[in-house]
This record gives sequence, C-alpha cells and structure tokens, in this order.
Amino acid sequence: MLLGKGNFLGLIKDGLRNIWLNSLMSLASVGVLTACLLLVGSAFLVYFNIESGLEQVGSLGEIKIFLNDGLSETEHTTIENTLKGLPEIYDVQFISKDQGMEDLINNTPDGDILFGMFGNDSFLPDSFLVKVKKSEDYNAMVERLSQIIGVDEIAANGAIANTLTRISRSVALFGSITVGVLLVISIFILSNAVKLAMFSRRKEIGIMKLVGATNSFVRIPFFVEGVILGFISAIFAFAIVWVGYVNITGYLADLSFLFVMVDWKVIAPIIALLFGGMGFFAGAFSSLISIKKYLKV
Amino acid sequence: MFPGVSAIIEFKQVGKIYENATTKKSEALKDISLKIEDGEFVYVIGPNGSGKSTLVKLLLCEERLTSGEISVNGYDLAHIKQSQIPHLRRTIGMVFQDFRLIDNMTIYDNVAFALRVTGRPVREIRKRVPYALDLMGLNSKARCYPSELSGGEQQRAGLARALAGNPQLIIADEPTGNIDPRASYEILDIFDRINRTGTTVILITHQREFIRKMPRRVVMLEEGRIVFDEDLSIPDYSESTIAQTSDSPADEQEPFAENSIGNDEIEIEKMQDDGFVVGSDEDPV
Repeated sequence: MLLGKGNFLGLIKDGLRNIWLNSLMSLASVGVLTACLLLVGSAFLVYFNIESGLEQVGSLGEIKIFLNDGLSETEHTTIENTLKGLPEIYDVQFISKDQGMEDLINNTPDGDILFGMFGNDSFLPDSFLVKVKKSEDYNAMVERLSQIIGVDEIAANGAIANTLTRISRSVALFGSITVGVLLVISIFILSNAVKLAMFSRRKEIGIMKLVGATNSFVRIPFFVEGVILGFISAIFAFAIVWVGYVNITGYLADLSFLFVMVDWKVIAPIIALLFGGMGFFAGAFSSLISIKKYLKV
Repeated sequence: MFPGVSAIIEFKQVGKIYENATTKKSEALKDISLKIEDGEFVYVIGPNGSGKSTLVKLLLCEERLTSGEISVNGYDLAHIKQSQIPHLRRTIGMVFQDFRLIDNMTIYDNVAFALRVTGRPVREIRKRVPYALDLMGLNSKARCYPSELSGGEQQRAGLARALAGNPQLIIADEPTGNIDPRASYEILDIFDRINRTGTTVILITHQREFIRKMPRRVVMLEEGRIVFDEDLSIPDYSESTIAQTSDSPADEQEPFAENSIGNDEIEIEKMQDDGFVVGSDEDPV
C-alpha cells in the first residue's frame, strides 16, 4: 500500500504529538533509558581506559634492554647480532639515548616542561627494543638476556602484562554481559512505558481500527514515538557522559600525570554511536513488541 | 464474494455463539436470515440481550460468525482474510452511542483522523473534511474540542466522520442514546436526508417514537432471533401494527410534535468521489 508523502509526514507528526501530550510518561521513559545508557557508557569507558592503559604498560611481546654507558660502536653491533641470533627474539630495534629521551618527552603529558630542564643531555641509557615470541620459560629467557655482556638492566613487563591482560579480558567479558543485561532491562522497562502509553490511548487505537486503519498505520506513530524517545535518551546520556568524563579526566590529571585517560575526542564518536544505536534499537524494538496486544480489534 | 448479489447486506442462517472463560456457551444469534438492499433505511430494534450489538459486531468483523454466511458490500465475512477487514470497514460509516470522538483533538482533526489513518491523500482530506462538517452544520465548531460541544453536536461530528469517507453503508448503533429528545429528532432527520441521497442506513435504536415519526422497514430481534421484519412505511400498516413493535408500555411515550425537527436547513447531496457535488443549489463552503 502506497503511503503518500504528506500522509507519512502526518504519521510522524502524530508520533511527535503523542510524545508531547503524554509528556509525563515520555519523561519517565526517557529517564529510565538515559540511566541505563549511562550505566552502559560508564562500563564501556572503564573497559576502554583499562585496555589502552594496558597498552601503555607494555605487552607480553616487548622487552626493553638497557645497556651500560660508554659502550663502543663495535660493542653495540656485537650485542645486536647476539640478540638477532636468539630464536625467541625477533625485531631488534636500537634506541639511542637521545631517541629514548625524545620518546619519553612525547609520550608523557607536559613532557617538554617536565624534562626540558635537562637541556640536551639525556639521562637515559642506550637501549634495544626487542619483540619476543611466546616462550615456555619467560623468566629463564629474561635471565639469559641479562647475562649478555654490556647489558645493564632488562625491563620485562611480561609477568605483569600477563596478569593485566587477564584482568582486561575479565573486564571485557563482564562489560559485555553488563551491556547485554542492561540492554534487555532497558527494552523491558521502555516497553512497559510504551504499553502504558498505548493503554492510555486504547480509545484512539480502537477508533482507528474500527474506521478501517491497517495495522501499519496504527504502528507507525508509536514506532516513531519509541525511536524519538530512544534518541532523546541517547542525547541526554551523551551530554552527561561528556561533561562527566572531561571533568574526571581533568581531576585525575591534576592528581598525577600518571593517570592519563583516553582523550575525549578519541572516544566521543564511539560513545555517540553506541548510545545512538542502543537508543534507536531499544525504542524501536520495545514499541513494536508492545503494540501487538492492542492491534487485535 | 457472492456472485450476482444485489443486496448490500445478506445474512443466511447466521448463528453466533460466544464462549466465555467459564465455558458457558451463550447463543447470541440463532438462524438469522436477512436481506437489505442498497439504499434502504432499516430500523433494528429489540430489548437488551436480543442480539443487536452482536449483529453490529458481525457486520464490522469485530466478531466472527459461528455458522451461516454473511455478505456485506461484496465481502464474504465467513471467509474474509484478516488483512481485508480494514478495507471492509472503510466501506462502512459507523456512528456510536458514545460518539467515540478523541478528546484531545479538534472536531476538524477528529474527522480528518478517520481519513488520514485510512491512507487518503492530504489534498483529498482538505476537501472532504470541511465539506462533511458543512453538511452537519459544524463549520463554526471545526476548531473546538469535543468537550465544548453539546451531545447533539458531538453526534453530528461523529456523523461527519462517518460520512467523510463516502461510505455505501451507514450503521448507527443507538446514536441518540446520549442525546436529549429535541436533538435526537434532529439526528433522525439527518439520517433520513443521508438515506435520500442513496446511502443505506441501518439504525439500531430503542426509541419507538422514531418509528412512528418516520416509519421505515423494521427488523425486530428477540433472544437472538428475528421476530418481526416488515416495511412500515407502506401505508397499509396501521397504528396497531406499529404498536406491535413495542414490547413494553413504557415505550408508549407522549406523541411527538409534527414539526419538531430542527430548524437547520441542511441540504445533503451525495458527495461525489472527486469532492464536487452534482446538482446542488447550495454553495459547498
């Protein structure tokens, strides 16, 4: 059945009008869905930050080998060849003290201010950054590396990274379950709100059916209403998260430069998409499942 | 669809049994056979519980018949598909005792609503609604809400809604039940004029005075059966026959005044499909 353009807009206007007329009901629904989205968003942000934090700490796959001071070119080359010869090692990269300094300044917030006072002298040693294949005995391998002549210290976060990776995976799992459960709860509560709205409009629906409206016509305004409520909730939740996140980031950064959170600009599009999608889905789905009861006239 | 059918409504040995939660079956209609031709005016009368409401529900497919056959406007109700029911209902204009107007919509929107939800194009709605309102003398009340109107006016709004879609058949279920006596006669008069344009009218009512004032065909139901089906507009019928149609002395109300029909000069011409009236002396505003 063809819907004239004017008619389609009219049905959308019906949906909007219904939201306005049942404003208290709409407000309640928006409140509930916004709260759910906030919980989901918070869980997601925590997970995301932990994940990127882990990346900073270093992964199982990388080891930094710090060298003694004052080694010659030849000695550097010898060490490099030794490393390349080891079966567990691949990708050997030399980082001079100056390069190391530059990296440190770039990776730390306000690094140039913090470390600028040292002038051009680097207090860091030369180092090799190597990637490691998975090894049976991680600790034994690290021990062997430290035995190489010219090696001062080894920075191997493998053990810690291992634990942290496990934590991260738990967070991911927990986070996903949380999202799933919250989504189901949101849909349930929203559909109850929609059912109440439909109950209060059963007279209208009844007349529509008796006058000869098809089920689609009855559905569309309520569908529109559900989706719009979902989007409004998403917008509210996004605004709250935006303000909250920026403030928390600032607060933690003031506490210590170590607490570096992911920049809002990076994470904002993801959150927007997440909230928008969930809002739309919750609104659409809950309105569609609620209306079935009232179509049987 | 019944081949070669001329009647707009035909019931053939129709029965309806309700089964409620306590598995008590109640036979609302028994062996109803009835033929209503296009353009007729039929009163349907009977005491409470006689099956009048069930009859209406069957016609609108709110309930399905248990046995027999029904044909309405060419639709075979025993075999009609769920998806076809809205289309059947669009060929019928319903008028209710409680008006069934939507309280938070203006009169204009109430009438337009019925057209909009049945998919009429916007420009068609813009023509039909003012015309229907004009027919019912409700132009000045178009922007009012139902609560601001009297009972008679609200029912006229309901009528405007029923007429706006240009149906072949009007069914009025106790249309004057909530209206004072004077306004009731106005409504009756409007139904008469609608019928004169060729629209079939079925009027379910308690008010026997209507039958005296405006004798037409009367179908009387009692305990689910048709006990009387005669056209009283034929001059042969005497007062005593009309008296047969009433079942209690209480129905014998005071004789009504001859000229008590309202003073609105409403010329109702049948609205053509393109929205223009053929042969009307009046200017459709």
